[in-house]
Amino acid sequence: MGNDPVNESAESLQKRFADVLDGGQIEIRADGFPLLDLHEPALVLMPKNAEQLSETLRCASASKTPIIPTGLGTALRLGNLPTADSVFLSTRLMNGIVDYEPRDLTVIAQAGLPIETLQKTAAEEKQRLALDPPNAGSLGGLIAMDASGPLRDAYGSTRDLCLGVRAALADGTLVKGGGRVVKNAAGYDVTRLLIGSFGTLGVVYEAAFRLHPMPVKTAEVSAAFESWSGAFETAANLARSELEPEWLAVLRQDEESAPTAAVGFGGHPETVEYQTKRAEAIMSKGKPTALETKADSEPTRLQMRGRLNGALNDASRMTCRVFAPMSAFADIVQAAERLRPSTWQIRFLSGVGYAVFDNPSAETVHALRDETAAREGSVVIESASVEIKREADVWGPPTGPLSVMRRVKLKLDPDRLLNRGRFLKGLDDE
Amino acid sequence: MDAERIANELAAVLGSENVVRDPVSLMTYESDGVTLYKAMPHAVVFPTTTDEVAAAVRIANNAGVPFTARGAGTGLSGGAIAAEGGVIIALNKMNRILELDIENRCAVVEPGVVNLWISDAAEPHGFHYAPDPSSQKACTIGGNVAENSGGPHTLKRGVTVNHVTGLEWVMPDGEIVEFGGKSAECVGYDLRGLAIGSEGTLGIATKIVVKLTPNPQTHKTLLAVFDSMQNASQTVSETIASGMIPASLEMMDRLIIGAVEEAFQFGFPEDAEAALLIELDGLEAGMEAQAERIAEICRKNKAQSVQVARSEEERQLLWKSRKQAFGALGRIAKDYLTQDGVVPRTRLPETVKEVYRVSEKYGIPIANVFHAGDGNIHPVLLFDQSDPEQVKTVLEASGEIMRACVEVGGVITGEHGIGVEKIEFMRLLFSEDDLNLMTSLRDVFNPNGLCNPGKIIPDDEPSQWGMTL
Repeated sequence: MGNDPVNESAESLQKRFADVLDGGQIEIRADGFPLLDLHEPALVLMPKNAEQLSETLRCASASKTPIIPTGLGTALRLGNLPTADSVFLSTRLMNGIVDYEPRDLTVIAQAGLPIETLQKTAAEEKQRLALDPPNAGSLGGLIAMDASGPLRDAYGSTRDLCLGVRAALADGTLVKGGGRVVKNAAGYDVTRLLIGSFGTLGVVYEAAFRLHPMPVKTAEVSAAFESWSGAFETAANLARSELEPEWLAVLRQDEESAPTAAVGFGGHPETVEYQTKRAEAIMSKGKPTALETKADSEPTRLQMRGRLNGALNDASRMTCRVFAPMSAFADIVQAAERLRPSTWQIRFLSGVGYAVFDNPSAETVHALRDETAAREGSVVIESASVEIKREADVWGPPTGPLSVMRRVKLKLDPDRLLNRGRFLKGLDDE
Repeated sequence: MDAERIANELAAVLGSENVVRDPVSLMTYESDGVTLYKAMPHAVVFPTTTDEVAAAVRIANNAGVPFTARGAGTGLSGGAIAAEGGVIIALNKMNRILELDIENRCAVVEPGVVNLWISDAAEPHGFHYAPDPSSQKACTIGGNVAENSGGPHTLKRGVTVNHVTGLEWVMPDGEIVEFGGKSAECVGYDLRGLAIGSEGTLGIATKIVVKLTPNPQTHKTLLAVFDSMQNASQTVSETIASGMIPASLEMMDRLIIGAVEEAFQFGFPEDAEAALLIELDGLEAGMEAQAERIAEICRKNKAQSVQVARSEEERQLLWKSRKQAFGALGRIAKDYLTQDGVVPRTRLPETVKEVYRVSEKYGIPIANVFHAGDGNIHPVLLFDQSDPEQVKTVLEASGEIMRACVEVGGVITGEHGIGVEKIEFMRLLFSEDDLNLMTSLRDVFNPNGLCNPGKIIPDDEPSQWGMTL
């Protein structure tokens, strides 16, 4: 484990960073800060700007102090158990909008900015960041996780909407990738590499995003079915139609509910109205037990978010993200029935699903992984108890060569200070 | 290095019919789409399988010979020209569409497949491959992956990186690996995202999983003509700000209009300064109303005329003016060099003004045809390549345009890549630390530096080609 600062007192750790940060920017035994897998952060460092961030990391690097980068701490339940006692580094004080030009439909903001604050600002201009993930607090969090929500079906994930980033590498070097323009082929796509890298390659402190116009009108149609196959067939029929939904989901909110297909539309009123009628017709053909249209809201999309959020923050439950070719989901869901998931939410067009288990064990993950792998898919544990994490790898096999990923990691963070142990198994091995 | 020995080794693995060495044949591979930059390869090899690509790479790597992958050679930044004494690995014989998975909206293809073939193959099922570079009838998917290519329809649908989910990849030491698959999600680092747009410097794609996009129910295409570029640009800004996202928003300026008119007699007014080709796609319901709203924005900004295509035939005719623009320029200039800057959309008017100022300053005619909706400009500098003075002037003028783009918060390439042409200008866009990071990443993949050297990242030695800072 190398240097182990847990043996140091928080006070001695604090002294190490006192030259760089003010007292108010260092919290000892931060009470209000969310726990990470039972680990109470000994110290939370909160730099105010890029220079301080750089200095903080330089200082950590010089003393080989492991760091867990975080934003608002909303998604700390994600990731393997840390293998080093680490100091938290939060971007929460870097939370401003740097430049927002509504006519360009782009915004540059600091990583600690809550996504909700950005959405409010954009809404004043009838715009939005078309990302609606369940559990991201800050923009930096979106980036670390490559987060997305149901809207991913139409707009993609963070990787598709983030235009550029500024970050501090493990040794404090400040770098940038991409830019603020919507099209960019200059140099390697460092932005894409950092997005989804879970804070293991650097700490992103600023990012540019592409925004979309807020739809003038929205609507959703949902239909409940007696069986999963009814819901999946209906979703496939909607996908095959001429319709252009903003999201298309197959779900079951809890064990008492029926399998449901739900679809949401947004845009020009005439277009939305037409699509709503057509969706009703297509869904009716699947002989649903109930069919409901909401002309001006998307309650299902919002409920999906609330439901997942609840599950992700409940230590007794386990939430898994499953991704696979969309045609495989009907089979995966059927095969997983014996594992008794209470909730399934599948973003049909993206081939991404979430399964929540109320009485999970590591065995549940292994079984789900086997069923999914047989159908060219993967399973990531989004949230689980420490006991399960001790027995099951949160990430599972990577979708690319681990050897190359390790070389990237060691090149950028040779002392493996950033998020040690929390990302891919084997990534931090010497 | 013993050239003869390497060629024999390659021929032993690939078959002598797949190794080209005679000087006359090699001349075809001397340059890509920009003939300003030329380098004669030592040999060109045509592998037919992934294993053969890997074998060719291993032979070159073991012998210390630089190698460069190449598709159709339509690139516009000199990215596919050989390094000194290097071998070209041409992927043209790996040109099969391996799988059309309509249910999962994707296709698995080999790198030598021509961009348009995918859309042609998917058409009967009601799908297409969205990125549509102007060269889509010739350019290959492997090249598109290397350059992260765009096209007119990227405004609504994005560029190559948004449409490729998986790659089979030959590393620069010959190891065969896979990044991603049929899902856009990944576990671990997004090496696929890093590989796309790496201009052949991180390895060679041998299989590509592309997304298929459902064909829209209908299109609505408008052509608006303006007597000032300012008014046309204002129309672009207001359209973008209106909450509608057209499928494409293409601008042509006076020089282009003149050339197109001379070649095809479309009937543009003589005093036309700018023409805007706007296409909406999607559902029929509501389309008419949206087209009318755009027409209104055009008229409000003093369009001389707004023409709406009433049939597919008329639509194709309107597009012809845009698609034939480069061909038409060939009639009025001996050679041309196309630049590829991107600026924030609101900075388009001043940037275009700056392009005209540069044109006047250097006495070089510059035509402008560009993806206005993305802020992606394509100034086309007209000149005579046989006159070294003009070549020098054209590169200087290009450099000044690039600077202007960067000054307003833009970048020096949106879809053509850095290649050898803009390599020195990377220093304008990126700090030493930024470039060091890119070098570190290159070293992870390509530690011997033999995989398409001399591209993207500037060296201590200034590049012998392209623009100088």
